[in-house]
Amino acid sequence: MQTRLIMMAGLFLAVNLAFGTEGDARFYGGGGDGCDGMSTRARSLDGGPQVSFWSASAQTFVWTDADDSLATLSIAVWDPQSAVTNGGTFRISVPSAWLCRFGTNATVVVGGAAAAKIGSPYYTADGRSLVLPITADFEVGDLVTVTGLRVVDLHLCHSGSQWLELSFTDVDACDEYPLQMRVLWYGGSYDDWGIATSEPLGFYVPSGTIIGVH
Amino acid sequence: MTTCFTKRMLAAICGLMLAAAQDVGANGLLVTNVMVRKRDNTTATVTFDIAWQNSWRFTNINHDATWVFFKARQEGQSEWHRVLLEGSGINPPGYSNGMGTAVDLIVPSDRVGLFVRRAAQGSGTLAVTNVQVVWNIASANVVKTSLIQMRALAVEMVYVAEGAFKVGSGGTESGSLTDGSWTSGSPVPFTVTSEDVLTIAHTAGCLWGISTGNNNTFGGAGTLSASFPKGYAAFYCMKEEATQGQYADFLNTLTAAQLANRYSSAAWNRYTLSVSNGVYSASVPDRVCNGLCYGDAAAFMDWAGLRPYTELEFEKACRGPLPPVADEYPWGTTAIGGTTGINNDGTGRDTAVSGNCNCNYGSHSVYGPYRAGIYATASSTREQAGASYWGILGLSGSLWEYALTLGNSSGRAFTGEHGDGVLTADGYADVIAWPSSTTAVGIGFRGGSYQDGPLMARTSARDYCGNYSDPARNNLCCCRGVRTAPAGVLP
Repeated sequence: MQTRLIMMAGLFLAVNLAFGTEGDARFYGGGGDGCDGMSTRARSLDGGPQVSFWSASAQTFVWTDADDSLATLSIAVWDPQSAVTNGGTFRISVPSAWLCRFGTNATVVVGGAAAAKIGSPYYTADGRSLVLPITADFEVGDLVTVTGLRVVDLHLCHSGSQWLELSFTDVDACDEYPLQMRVLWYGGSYDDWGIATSEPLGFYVPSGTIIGVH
Repeated sequence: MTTCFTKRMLAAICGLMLAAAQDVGANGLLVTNVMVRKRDNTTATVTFDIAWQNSWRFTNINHDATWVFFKARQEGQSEWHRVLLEGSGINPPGYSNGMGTAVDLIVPSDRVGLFVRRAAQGSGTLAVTNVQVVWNIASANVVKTSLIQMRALAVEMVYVAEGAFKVGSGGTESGSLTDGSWTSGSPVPFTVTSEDVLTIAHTAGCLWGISTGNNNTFGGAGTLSASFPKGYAAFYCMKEEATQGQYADFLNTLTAAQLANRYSSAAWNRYTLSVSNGVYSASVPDRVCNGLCYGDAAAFMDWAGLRPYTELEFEKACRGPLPPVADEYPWGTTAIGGTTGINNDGTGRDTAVSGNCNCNYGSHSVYGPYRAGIYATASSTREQAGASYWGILGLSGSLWEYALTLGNSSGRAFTGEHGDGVLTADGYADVIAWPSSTTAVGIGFRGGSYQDGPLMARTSARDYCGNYSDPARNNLCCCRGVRTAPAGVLP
């Protein structure tokens, strides 16, 4: 438990350093889970096994990009309650409100102290989820990281903020940092109409060699 | 050869510099240096320069383009004739892509005009000189030995890509379209998955509407034929509503008999069209053109080689392939901001007052149409610009737009014919399969207007797009045309 509190405090400090301390709606919220740092999606971390899930940073994408890389993801197990066990899975998914997918050609690397407890990752649901098979029971404080993920089909996303999702044993968690989608359409002045008229031209002029007959 | 090449390079560079100098920071579509030359006994070449800013091509989404069409006039005569091009497809033989931004020249099979678009992924200013197209002389009813004057007209269009999409947002819009599984409460968004025959029935998996009476009715059961444009196939849509300057250009190519039915001198709100010595002009040419009845709009679209859009295409043009947001506007959110004033009104550089405004609706203080595309800026988001998924502007508010309705048999009978560039002698659209210009039965209205409240500006609102027709001119209606994308044209 002491280890958990120390890690929670560290995470809270990191979030504060990254985003400032006041005047930012992302810092609004309540307590209870010890890691509220911003206004994220509703999540259930009380009562069951407790897992935190976060990207290395907030990320902004432009919807016209063909694809983009995702920052390193971390999954920390604070209280497995014998539920994060061999045979289970972690499933990382793109935001359900967006129709983008993971780039399934990307090579994903699993790291962290508990990397050995994860089998070979694979994509599912048409690339909307990455599955991390759990090959050994997780213990308090176990941490795995996922690098190399890419996201494609950004043009199928609404503008605004969404969060990557993590599911395991029917308990969901959401990324602590948002994905921000920027949808831009530029314009200027004047209308979208143009007109031009040529000078009158006699374009049908006989051409070729002129032969004089004497 | 070297000298000739050097001259062409210099001309291209000068042209690009001129285009940039004339209109920095603006869309400012410019067509210049139109020249016509003999090519052979049946064809002539037409060359021109073209430039506009804020163009784009994202091959995973869509692109903008300019629809260019021509009218020819014989020296000494007043009548302008339709011009048909020679060849079809992407970059047909005899055409030249000019110098500057790499462009594609796309000629549809009816050869009424051509699209100019970026040849490769990119965005920003597009400027190209010495674009060359081939004119089929015989199509224009002119005497070849006379002096010929050629007029090039260009309008910005936006490509709406092929693909499935949903109609109905699941919100509270009046008369919304729905899946036939709906029984009461919120509509169930219906997915359009092809251009095949579509069954209209109050049955799950079929297209239906939540109203079967009054102005927003969906009508009864039936079918939409395979040729009814359902929005699945790709099409080009005018980026903005037609402006008063555009409409003046249109009028200036008509005969006196045609003008008698196409020009209105009424004092519509913020309407600036007038005639002097037989020349029509708009003192504020960049302002959206109101006071257009369906007959006017249909004639404009026929003359320009475009066509009206269907209700289904309207929702595709707004929403794109994204999942619906209940009660959304064309910019994909439920936030809407009115305009409390306009800076530089009428100058062509008009900008809206109020930081969050993105729609001309609800009888705000500047009562009437604004500059086309007024909310888009050099850094605007989709919501700020009031832009659709594809980048089409002004689909809500401003002025009501004419759409083929699903609410009666006349609208459902539409088969997607394009205008052929020719009007009747008295100035009406001559495309037989279009709804009648005199009754307007089959034509409804989408998008709301500057006078109407925000509810009518929603993407799926059908307040006046059921069995409702109004063939008369009024303050609140304008024109926006579309054209089915030629086969093989991808984003």
